[in-house]
Amino acid sequence: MKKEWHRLLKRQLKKLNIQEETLVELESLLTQINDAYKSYDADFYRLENILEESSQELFIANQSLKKDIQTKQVELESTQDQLDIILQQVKHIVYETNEESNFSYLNNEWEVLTGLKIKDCIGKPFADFLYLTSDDLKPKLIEFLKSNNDYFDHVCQIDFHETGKTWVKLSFKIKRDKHNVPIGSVGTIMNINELKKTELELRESQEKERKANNAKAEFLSTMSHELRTPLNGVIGITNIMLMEDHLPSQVDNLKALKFSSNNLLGLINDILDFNKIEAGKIDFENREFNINYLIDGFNATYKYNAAEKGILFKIKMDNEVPPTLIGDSMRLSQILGNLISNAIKFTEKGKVTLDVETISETSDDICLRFSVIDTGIGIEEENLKNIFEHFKQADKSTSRKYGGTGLGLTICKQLLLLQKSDLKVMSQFGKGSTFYFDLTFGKSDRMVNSATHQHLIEPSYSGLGNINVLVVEDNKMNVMVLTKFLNKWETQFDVTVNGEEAVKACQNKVYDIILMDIQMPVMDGYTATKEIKKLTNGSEKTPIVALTASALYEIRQKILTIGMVDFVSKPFNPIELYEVLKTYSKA
Amino acid sequence: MQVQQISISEKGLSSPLHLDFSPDLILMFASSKIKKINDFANQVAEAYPNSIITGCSTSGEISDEIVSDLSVSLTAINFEKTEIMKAEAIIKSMEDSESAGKNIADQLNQKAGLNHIIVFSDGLNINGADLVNGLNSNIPDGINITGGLAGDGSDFQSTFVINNGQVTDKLIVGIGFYGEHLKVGCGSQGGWSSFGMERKVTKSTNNILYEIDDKPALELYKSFLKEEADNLPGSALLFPLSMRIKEGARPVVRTILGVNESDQSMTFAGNIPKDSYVRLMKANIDHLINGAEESANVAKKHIDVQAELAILISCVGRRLVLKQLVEEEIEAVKDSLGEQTQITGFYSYGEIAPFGQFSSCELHNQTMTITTFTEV
Repeated sequence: MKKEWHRLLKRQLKKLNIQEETLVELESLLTQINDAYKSYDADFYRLENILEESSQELFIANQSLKKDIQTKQVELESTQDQLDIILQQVKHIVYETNEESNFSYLNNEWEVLTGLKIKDCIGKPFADFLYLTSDDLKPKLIEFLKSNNDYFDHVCQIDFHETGKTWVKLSFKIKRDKHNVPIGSVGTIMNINELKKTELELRESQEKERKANNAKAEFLSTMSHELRTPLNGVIGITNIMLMEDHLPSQVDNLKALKFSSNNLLGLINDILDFNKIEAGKIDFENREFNINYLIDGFNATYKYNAAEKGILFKIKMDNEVPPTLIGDSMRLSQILGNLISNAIKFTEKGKVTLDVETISETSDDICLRFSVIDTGIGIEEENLKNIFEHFKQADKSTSRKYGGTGLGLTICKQLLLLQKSDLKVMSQFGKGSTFYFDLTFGKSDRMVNSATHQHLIEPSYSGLGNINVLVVEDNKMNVMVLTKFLNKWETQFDVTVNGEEAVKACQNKVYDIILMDIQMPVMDGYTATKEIKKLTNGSEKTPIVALTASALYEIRQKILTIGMVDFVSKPFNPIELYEVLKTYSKA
Repeated sequence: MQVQQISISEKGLSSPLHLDFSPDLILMFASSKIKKINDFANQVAEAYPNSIITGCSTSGEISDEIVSDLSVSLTAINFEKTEIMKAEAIIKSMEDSESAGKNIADQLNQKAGLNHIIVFSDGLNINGADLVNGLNSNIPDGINITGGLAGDGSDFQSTFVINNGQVTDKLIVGIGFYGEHLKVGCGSQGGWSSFGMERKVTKSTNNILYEIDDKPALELYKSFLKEEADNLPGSALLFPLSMRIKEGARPVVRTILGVNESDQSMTFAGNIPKDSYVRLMKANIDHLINGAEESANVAKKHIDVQAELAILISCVGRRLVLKQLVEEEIEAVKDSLGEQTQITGFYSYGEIAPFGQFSSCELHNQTMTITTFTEV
C-alpha cells in the first residue's frame, strides 16, 4: 500500500485485508481510483473555499447592514422624538390612525381639547370619539370614503362630553401604501371656537347692516312716491296753464316752473332707479322691438332740446342694423336718453351725435356700439375716474352750474354692467366727450310696430272730435288735470273714482276709450279691467289705457297680459296723452 | 487502575462473559438494534453482582480504534484508590429533565470527595439542556460533568440506558467518582463552521423552534437540504445550527431531534430561546478530524499524566459526515493520547462537557467529547 494514497482508499483497502501481492496486481486501477478521490477532494475543497469566502462576505455584509439598520433606527427614534416634541407643542390636535381607523398617535392637545386621556384613546376607533358626537360629520365621512379623494376638510361642532361643544376644523389625508391601498390617515383637529364666534358676530352685524340698508331703501322709495304725487299736480297744472290763456309776462315763469318741476321729477326717478339697482331688484326684458322707431324717437325729442340751446343733434346709424332686435328697449332707451340729455346739457356750441354701429354679428346675435359724442366742456383727466361714482360730477362747480344729482351716469353704468356690458368714456377737456357702450341683441325677422311712444311731431292739439272717454282715477289733482286736457281737446267724458264704479259705468255705456288708474281703493285697475273684459254689451272691446306712476318697464308686461292696450305715465305729458287718445279712440 | 476493553459482536453476546478481574464499573455501549441486550445485561449483572453496570444505546460503538454497529463495546474498570457511586432518575416527560438532573447531582453530592460525574441519559425523551442545568445546579465548583445522550443510529426512534441488569428508556444514570487520586481530563471540540447570515429566532418554546426571521423554520431549513430533506430528521445532522443567546455570547451547536410538518417546527436537543441568533453550520472531513484531535489535546492538557482510559462520546452527526472515514477521528484521538490509553465510547445524540477547563458544563452537539481517567 502506497503511503501517498488517499486516506479513504487506504482505509478501504485496510478493511478488505488484501494481500500485498494483490495490491501490486491492482496498482494501476488503484492509482486511478486514488487520482479520482484526490481530484474529487480538490474540487470539493475548491467549492468549499468558494462557499466559505462568499459566506464570509455575506455574513459581514449582513452584519454591517444590521449595524446600519440599528444606527438608522437610533436616528429614526431621535427624529421621532424631536418630531414628537414639536407635535406636542402644536396648539392643534395632530393625530394618526392605522388601517383599522384606530388612533395610533395623538399629541397633548388632544387631552386639552377633549378632556380625555391619550392612553385611553390610543388603539380605539377614530369614529367613537368624533362622528358619533357630531350630527353632520358621519354622512360627510361616508360620502368622502365613497369618493376617490384623499383630502378631507370639514368644519363642525363636536360634543366632547368632558369639555362641551366645540367648533373644530377637521382635516386629514389618507395614507396609502405603494399599491395605493389605504393604510390609515394623518390629520389635525383645530379648535376654531374663537374664529367661529367672530364669524357669527360678523354675520350678525352684516345682517343688521343689510336690514338698515333695506330700511333706508324702503324709506327712499316711499318718499319718492310720496313726493311724486304732489309733483304730478304741479306739473299737470303748469302744463294746463301753458295751454290755457295766460299773460305774456307769465310765460317765462311758467316755463321755469315746468323746467324745475320736470327736473325734480327726473331726480326722484333717478333715486328710485338707483335704489332698485342697489337692492338688486332689476330684471331685464327680452322682447322684440324696432330700433328705428326708438332712434327716431330720440331724434324727435332731442332735436328741439338741442335747437333751444343753439346746437345740433345728429344721428348716424349703420344701414345694416336689422330693424327688429330682441332685448330690453326700455332700458336701452333710458341709458341713451340719459347720455344724450347729459351731452346736450354740457354742450354750449357745436353738436351732439348719436352713433350706432355694428361691432360683430352672427346668425343669431348682433353686437352694437352706441356712442354719444359731444363737443362740450369735456372732463379733466383726473376727474375721469370719478364720474361714474354715486352723486359725483366732474367737480363741484359743474353741479352748481348744470344741476343734477350725478346719479344718471352711475345708473347707466350699473344697468350696463348688469347686462354684461360697460359704459366707457373718452374725453378731452374743453373739446368734448364720447360716452359709448356695446350691447348684444338677438335678431328677429319679424317687423314690429313699437309700443314705445313716438313723439314724432309736436302735436297741434286740434280737437279730438266727438269721442267718449271714461276716466277712472281716484286722485283729485290728477282728475282735475285730466279734465282740463279733455275739455280742451273737446271730448265727452265721465269720471269714476274706483274700479267698481268704472265697471258699473261700462255696463251702462260703451266708451270709445277708458283711461284706467292702476292703484285705487275698492277695486284696482287690474281687477276692473278683467271685469270689463267679461262684459258683453260691447264695452269688452273698448281699448283700456293704463295710467301709472310706476316705472313702465316694471308693469308693462302685466298691463299687456291682462288686456290693456297701452299706458300713459304720470305726471301726464300732454303730448303723450293726446297721442294715446288720438290713436286708440279711432280704432 | 485496571482496564479491560472488549468489543462483542451480536453473536458473541450469547457466550458467557469472562473478565480478567472483578471490576468496580462496567460500561456497556450497545447498538440499539441488538435484540438480546436485556438478556446480556442480566447475565453480566448476575456474573458481576458487585460491579456497577451502566451504559446506553448508540449510533455506533467505539472500541479501541474501531467503530462498529450491531455490537457492544464493553469496558471493565477496577479502581485502586477511587470510590464510585451510581445514581438514577426516571423521567416521565421532558418537563422532568431539569429536576432529574438536579436529583442525580443531589444524590451524588451526598458522598464526600466528589471528583467527577459521568451521565448517560435517554436520548429522545429528554431536554438535554435542562438536564445539564439541573446537574449543574447542585454541584460544587470545579467538579466537571461529562456524558452523553443515548443514540439510535440515525433513526431517532428509541434509545435505552443500562442500569445494572435493567435496560430501559426514560432513565438517567449518573456515576460519581470520589477521591483525589483519579485524574480526569475533558475535551470537547467540534470542527464545524458556521456559514451564511446570522438569523434571529422570532418564535420558539424551549427546544421547539417555529420561526426564524419571521419565516417558518422548517421551510428555511429544508431549502438548504434539497433532496436530503426527505431523510429528515436524520439528515438534519448534516446541518446543525450554531446558536448564541445574545450577541457576544459563545455559540453552541444544536442538532435536530425531530421535525413537525404540520406546524413547520423543529425540535432540538437543547433549548433555542426566542431572540437568540442562529447560523447554519457545515463540516468537512478534515475539520472534523482536526477537531477530534484538538479535543484530545485539550483533555491531555488537563492532566500531565498518561491517560489510562479515554471515553469518547462523539456525535452521530459527525459519523454521517465522516462516513467510511469515521475511524480517522478515533485514530487522531488515539495518536494524540498515545498507544497506552485504552479507548471506549459511542456515537451519541448529544454530549455533555464543560466548554473549557473551568467553565460549567453544557450540552453540546456535533462534538467529539473526551473524558480521560488516570489513577495516581
